[in-house]
Amino acid sequence: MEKAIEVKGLQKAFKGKEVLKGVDLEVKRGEIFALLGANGAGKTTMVRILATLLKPDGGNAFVNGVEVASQPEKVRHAISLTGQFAAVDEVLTGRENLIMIAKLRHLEQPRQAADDLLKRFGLTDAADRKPSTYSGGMRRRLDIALSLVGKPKIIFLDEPTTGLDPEARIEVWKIVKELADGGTTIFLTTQYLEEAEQLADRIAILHEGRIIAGGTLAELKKRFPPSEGRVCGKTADVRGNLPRHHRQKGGHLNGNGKKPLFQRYGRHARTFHAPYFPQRGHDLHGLRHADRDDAAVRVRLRRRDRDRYG
Amino acid sequence: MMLLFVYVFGGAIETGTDNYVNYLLPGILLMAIASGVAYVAYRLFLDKQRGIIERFNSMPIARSTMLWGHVLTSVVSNVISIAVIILVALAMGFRSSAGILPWLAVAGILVLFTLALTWIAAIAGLSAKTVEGASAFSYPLIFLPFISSAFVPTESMPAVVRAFAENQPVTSIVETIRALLSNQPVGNDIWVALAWCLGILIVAYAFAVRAYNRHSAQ
Repeated sequence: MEKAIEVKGLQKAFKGKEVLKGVDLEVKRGEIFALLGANGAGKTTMVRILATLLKPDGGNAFVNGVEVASQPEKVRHAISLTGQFAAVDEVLTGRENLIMIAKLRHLEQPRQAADDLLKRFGLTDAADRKPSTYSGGMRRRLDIALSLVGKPKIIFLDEPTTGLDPEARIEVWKIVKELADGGTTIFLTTQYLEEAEQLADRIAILHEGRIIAGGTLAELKKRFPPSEGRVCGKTADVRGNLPRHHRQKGGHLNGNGKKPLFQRYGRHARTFHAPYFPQRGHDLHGLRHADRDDAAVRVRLRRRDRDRYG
Repeated sequence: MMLLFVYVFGGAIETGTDNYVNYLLPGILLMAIASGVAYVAYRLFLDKQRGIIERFNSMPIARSTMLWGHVLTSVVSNVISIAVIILVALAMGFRSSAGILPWLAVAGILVLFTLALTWIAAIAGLSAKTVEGASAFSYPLIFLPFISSAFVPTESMPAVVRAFAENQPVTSIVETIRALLSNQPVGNDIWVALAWCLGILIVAYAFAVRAYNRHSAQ
């Protein structure tokens, strides 16, 4: 059983609208797999089918060697899902949330399991407060901690960093990397190419219900040579430099006018729409643009870690 | 609420009994339950919105756990509030000559009524689009006792209102509880009350489960 996830010809339609039009993919054990795509590409549908929340209309999906559609119960023992919104209970404290899930998973020592996770995620101090007092990053950490209760073999993360500030995002990345180092298979979806690049061993690009490209980062780079046009600068500059039809679309510009925006335009951008990444300077070819925000965050985090862990 | 009715309206309302608290208690209990179940709708809605339902559904636990957990919580919390209300009523002069069996029957009917309304609340919570929508359903439920024999005898109402009042579920339930507590013969009311409760319970349960499955399939 080399493969953690195997999907063949997966189809799903909602009210006659095809969302997945025959998706094939494979995820190896212990790797981080990123499903990259724009809003509405079908990423969440994909995750929901693999996490046994939805039945596919056609095709096969195996998770941990078990067919999802016919034996969802068995699949649920091996997986855990972290959805787009932090699914934590507001009435319970952080610790109680963890204990509840630990009990539902029939762990022998729910209290111990909760304490371990709280410590691991730096939430010990906040453990007895309600999540409504947490920052966005802390909620996300608690959310991921809840998914780790009972040590599932495969973890689904649906857009784990959407809506997080850069600092919290880098923290989540760190957690994901640590998880993978511990041997957990991770299937994550993201809109951000940078995230896929940073984390994933392999990337698949989902566009309008089909996988249009897949492989390791190096393979993808080889298949899609650098595009010709690239603009970077402050929003106003970028807007001014864009070809007219892009300027009119406008949808790609997602900055607040202050943050530097980097965007690829040109032939390949039109071939696959995935690479739009609102805040950071990355493109598919691993070219890292100077990004002062990012650098500043890293320095701050490093300083905080030093303070916290000596 | 009960204080308001007894001390403010109590003097003016002529019910034919010497103790207005005795007359009023069943209606107050039903209103407490009707407003108590709104919390279920609210909590279910939040669980739906925050993805907690999805988290549970992707875990190796029975799918119905989620709904039943909410329903049982509702029953327990309503039982507690009913007990508190009865204690307050006793302090205000409520007296019952009923023995153990009638009290058990009253408890049974109230739990059944709570279950029935809770499943209605579950439908509202699962199908609502906004928090307000999730709890708005309970207003008519809280209002129903007013157009019943809960606070005043139906004889004083105009014909149309009276016809409605005498044939809606709250009246039969109220009459049953009142008769049980005062050791009067309950007559047909108890069967009508039970039929209403069970009927609502079954229909609401079916719709709630459907709403739940529909939510899960989206």
